[in-house]
Amino acid sequence: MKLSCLQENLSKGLSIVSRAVATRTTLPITNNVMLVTDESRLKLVATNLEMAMSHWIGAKVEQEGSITVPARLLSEFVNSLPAGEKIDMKLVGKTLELKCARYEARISGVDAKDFPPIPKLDEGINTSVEIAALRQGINQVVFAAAADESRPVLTGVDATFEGSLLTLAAADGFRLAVYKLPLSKAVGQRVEVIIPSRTLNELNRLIGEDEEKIEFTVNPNKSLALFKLKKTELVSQLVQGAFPKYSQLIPQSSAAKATVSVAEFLRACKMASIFARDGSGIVRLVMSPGKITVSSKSEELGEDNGELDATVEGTEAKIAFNGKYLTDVLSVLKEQQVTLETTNPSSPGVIRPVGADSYIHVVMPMFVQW
Amino acid sequence: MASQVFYRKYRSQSFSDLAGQESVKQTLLNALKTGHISHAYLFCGPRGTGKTSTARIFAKAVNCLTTGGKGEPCNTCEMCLAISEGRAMDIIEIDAASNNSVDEIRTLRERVNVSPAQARYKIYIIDEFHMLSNAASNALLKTLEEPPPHVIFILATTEIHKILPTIMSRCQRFDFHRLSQADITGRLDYIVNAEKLKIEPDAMKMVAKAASGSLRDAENLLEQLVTFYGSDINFRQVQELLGITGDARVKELAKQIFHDDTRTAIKTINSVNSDGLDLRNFKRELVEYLRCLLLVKTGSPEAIDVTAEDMKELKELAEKAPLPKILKVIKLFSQAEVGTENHTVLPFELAIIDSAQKEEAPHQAAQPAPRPMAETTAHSAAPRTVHPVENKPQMARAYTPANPAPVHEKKDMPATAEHKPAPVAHFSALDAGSVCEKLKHDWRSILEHVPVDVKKNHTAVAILRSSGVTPVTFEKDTLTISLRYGYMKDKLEEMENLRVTEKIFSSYMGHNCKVQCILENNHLVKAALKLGAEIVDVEET
Amino acid sequence: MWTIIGHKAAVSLLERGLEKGTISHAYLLVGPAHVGKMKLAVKLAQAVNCESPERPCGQCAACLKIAEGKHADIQVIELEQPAENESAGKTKISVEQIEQILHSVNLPPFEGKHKVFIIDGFENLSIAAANRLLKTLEEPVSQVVFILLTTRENLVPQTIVSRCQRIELAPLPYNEIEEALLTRWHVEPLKARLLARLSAGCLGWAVNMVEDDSLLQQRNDWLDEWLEVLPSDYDKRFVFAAKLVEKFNQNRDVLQQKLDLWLNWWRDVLLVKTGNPETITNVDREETLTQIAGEYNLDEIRAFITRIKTASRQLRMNANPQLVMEVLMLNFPENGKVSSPVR
Repeated sequence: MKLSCLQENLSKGLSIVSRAVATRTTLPITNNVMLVTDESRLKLVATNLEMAMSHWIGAKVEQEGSITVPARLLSEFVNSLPAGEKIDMKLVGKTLELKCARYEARISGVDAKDFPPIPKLDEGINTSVEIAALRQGINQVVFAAAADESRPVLTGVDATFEGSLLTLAAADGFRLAVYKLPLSKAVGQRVEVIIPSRTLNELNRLIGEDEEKIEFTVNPNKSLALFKLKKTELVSQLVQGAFPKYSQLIPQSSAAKATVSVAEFLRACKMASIFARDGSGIVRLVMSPGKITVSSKSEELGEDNGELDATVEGTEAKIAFNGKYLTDVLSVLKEQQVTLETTNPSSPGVIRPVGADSYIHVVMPMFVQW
Repeated sequence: MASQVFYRKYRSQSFSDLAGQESVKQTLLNALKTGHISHAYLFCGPRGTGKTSTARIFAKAVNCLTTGGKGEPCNTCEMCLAISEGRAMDIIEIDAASNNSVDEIRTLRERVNVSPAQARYKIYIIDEFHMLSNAASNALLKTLEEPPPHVIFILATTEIHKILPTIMSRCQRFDFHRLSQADITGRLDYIVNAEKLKIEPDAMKMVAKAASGSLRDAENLLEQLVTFYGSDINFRQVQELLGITGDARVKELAKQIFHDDTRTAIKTINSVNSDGLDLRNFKRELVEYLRCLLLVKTGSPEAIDVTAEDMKELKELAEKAPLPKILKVIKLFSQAEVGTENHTVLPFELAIIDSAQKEEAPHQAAQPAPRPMAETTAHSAAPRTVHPVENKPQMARAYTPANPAPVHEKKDMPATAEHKPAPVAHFSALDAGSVCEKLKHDWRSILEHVPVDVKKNHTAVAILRSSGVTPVTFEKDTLTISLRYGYMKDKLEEMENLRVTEKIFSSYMGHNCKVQCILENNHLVKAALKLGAEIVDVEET
Repeated sequence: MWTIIGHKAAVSLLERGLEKGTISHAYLLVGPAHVGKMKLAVKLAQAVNCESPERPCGQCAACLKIAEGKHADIQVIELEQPAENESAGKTKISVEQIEQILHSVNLPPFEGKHKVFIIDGFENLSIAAANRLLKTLEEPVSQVVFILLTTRENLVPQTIVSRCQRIELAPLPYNEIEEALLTRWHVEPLKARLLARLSAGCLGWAVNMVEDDSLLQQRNDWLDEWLEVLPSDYDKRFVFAAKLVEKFNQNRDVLQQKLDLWLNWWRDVLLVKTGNPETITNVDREETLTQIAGEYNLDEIRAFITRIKTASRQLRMNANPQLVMEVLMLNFPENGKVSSPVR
């Protein structure tokens, strides 16, 4: 292997794939990054056996080849080199020699054939989505996934491909977030998979400014998904198991419906949450004609009461939520206004942004003595 | 491909499916019928008796959409299915081992207040509840006492003694018992039918017996049988899988032992071993055979179920074997330590040799537990059983360093069961020189039973307990104690410590005595040590 | 092609499980050290990932990778090696190590057909760690096989055992080991006979001895040490005891092994004494054994065996090693030739 490339390209490429380098592992080679020549490009690959990232950078390839070297060592060396310079790379035996300006390094590597094979996804459903919509979907859904691993399926985001619609959903038993976005290419069959939250977060971080679309592939036995960008590919394992049938959690009707300003509502909830800290986070809402009162109290600290203007339809209603669940969802909404629907103090509250029917958020109420 | 094992595939889905536990089932069904649902249940019992299964069935029953929570779950409604498939959001199964910090319990406590998403009741099934720390258990107390109306806690544990009483008193407790063989057979029958298997009734009985009350163990065993022998299972196959040899050498060995044919007996056991037979099972069968012999000898042959031919053999052997010897042999072999961790035949060989030892009294009795001092005090006037005095003469002889008689034979060194340390036999208190031996023997016990006004953790007691501290002589009311380390000696010689030490031994001896300390630095001490030379006890750490 | 020597029942159980597609999600392999537990576990890992019709073939890419320990879906969990700045190794498999598995269990295999988790030395799991495995061990998602290995089953919680298919690997009969050493490793007959006896039925141990000559030399040296000290006076014995204890403080196992060797020697003396010389272990020293057997009476030999066992047990229970060894030295059997202990 013999090639040359630009320092900034290599540095950037390494910083991208190093997100997938294993940190604690029983397979030491996964601490390495694999360098492979691919026609006139250099491919950088890393995997932690849960996801694998590949990134291509432009290079002048004189002789083909491949090697794996410790990712951290290589990154740190390359990052320290002067920007804008050309790096020459040459493989001698199992040693990678790097030359840049007046600096030289030799890094001992491990044969690339021992690197875990990055799965290829040639079959299965294949489609693509707009970047902007996906970004918003990730932002509005992922936070609702469960953080603890006791219910593994809930730590992921359920993705349903059906016709020309992709539905992302996350739930942790206390709330549910559902976001729908259009597929650029309709799929032939309905496919439902669970994508690890971490994968989506990494994906969000990966998406550069110059990207417009992202290509999705899910393999036939639904164990892997491939996300393809211009210069980067991410292959992720999918969480195995059955996701709850969440559509049943969304109430079909409501007794009261309030429309309020997102910013005002968020402010009131944040304030109430301060006082709710030692009372299981309980924030009480009372919906009456023209307004919503948001209050919380703590036996030791005192209490807080806020009022905001609202258009309230239907009966008066009382309901209590965990303040964090309200602030979480209100913080990710882009719209100006939001509606909150309830039926009774023990049935779920439904939050929808006004002017966008792509998003629904359901929050379970809390049991309180009124 | 890894297929579902039987215990998962055939997990009971309704109360009527559930093996055994009649009273648990009945009570829960009644509660459902009358609507007297408790908010906290405690399920305790050994592994594989149905705790988790019952918890899941109950979760379905109270939330069943068809019955409205009034009885057996329907197992067809959306809720029942979701629970069975483990995707119901409101049934939260937690293992206490993974969530045992106070913080995690606090989070749980907060979340408990959130309404169920779909189900009537949100159900927390907390498995292995005893793994919670006390602090975490306490953090849960208030919630257990007054949970929100939509919440039911089901706590399951295999170790009830580790559950705080405050937790127990807040729960309705159900005890799951080991399943009877009939209960296990009943459930296995169901699996046998469902899997289209054939199994001899005797074979089934044996599987049920081997499972010792755990359905899961029985199901695992059945599965191994099916994997091994296919769908048609007979008694012999079960025997084979369980490693039951039915080997004729059991009888041969017994005969050789009672004929004192040590040589051939050792050959026999080695041949059993080199054939790769399971020594534990061989031992079990041998002991069982010896038991039969005992029954024949004691005149209750009707209690055993053997062929006429075997009975004849047993009777012949019983005629030759004296009862004490039968008892001794049973004891020796049942104490032989063979297990998965000890595969050697040595324990058998030793038992064989010990069986052939002539009865000369010294080592048939197990070590007496340390007795209260009064009873064993050297100066006690009470009549005592005469212990084999011939046991100890040279102890006394070689005891004083001034008279270093070499010891040529020590046929007395008791070689009893290996798992008892300090096989120092009883001493006659009348045997003057042996006061010190006696002290050594009772050392531990003396320090356990210090006079009431001495604290058990007093420095002096702690030093005396250390290894390397041992009495060497007792003359003219002065006890000389040897200490391995100088710093210990210095410490023990401090006024207060010396006073306490003297008090302890004065109380033990029944009259005032002095204590003097020497440093263990020469072979004289070691030689003395030799004579009582066993380590009194071992600190387990 | 399992290429496993002995353990026919275990292998055929797994073979049939493969044929019928009833491989369980959890196995517990029980047996002494070096008997072949890991070997069987690796074979099973190969079998469930093998690409050939006859599994495990040992030839396909998956089988080769697993054999080299490079397969992404096979994880071996064992006691962590001490880091450079730590003096002593860890004594428990930690909760953290188990948590990593639990995370990994829920994701599908990366390159193979099954994820296989081999936990070596399951008795080393802390109680908390073992309990943390319970739920997953009972009902893992598909495509996962747990293989737990243990030498000390009674330290494995019953709740764990009951969730596994339990397979016991008993020591092999001597003649099978002897045969294997002769035919597969081409060991010369006398040595094969000796190693087979010394191995106590554990082929792995015998093979180690074949591959590393210094191990057999070490056994000879150790035995000579004991034999030299046997007829000597107390001064020499105590010097020897001190030496042993010094070693013990560096490496506890060595002293246990030396005691085991000595115990085995006296078992041989016992066997010769009772007229069973054909069953002895130390076949290369039959002459010395016969001589010693002639010098001591049966009671002495019998009693000394107990004393060695006692010493060995006391060491395991953390008794003061010096005291234990000195007591043992004092308790060497007497044959009348020994000089007076006290002078």
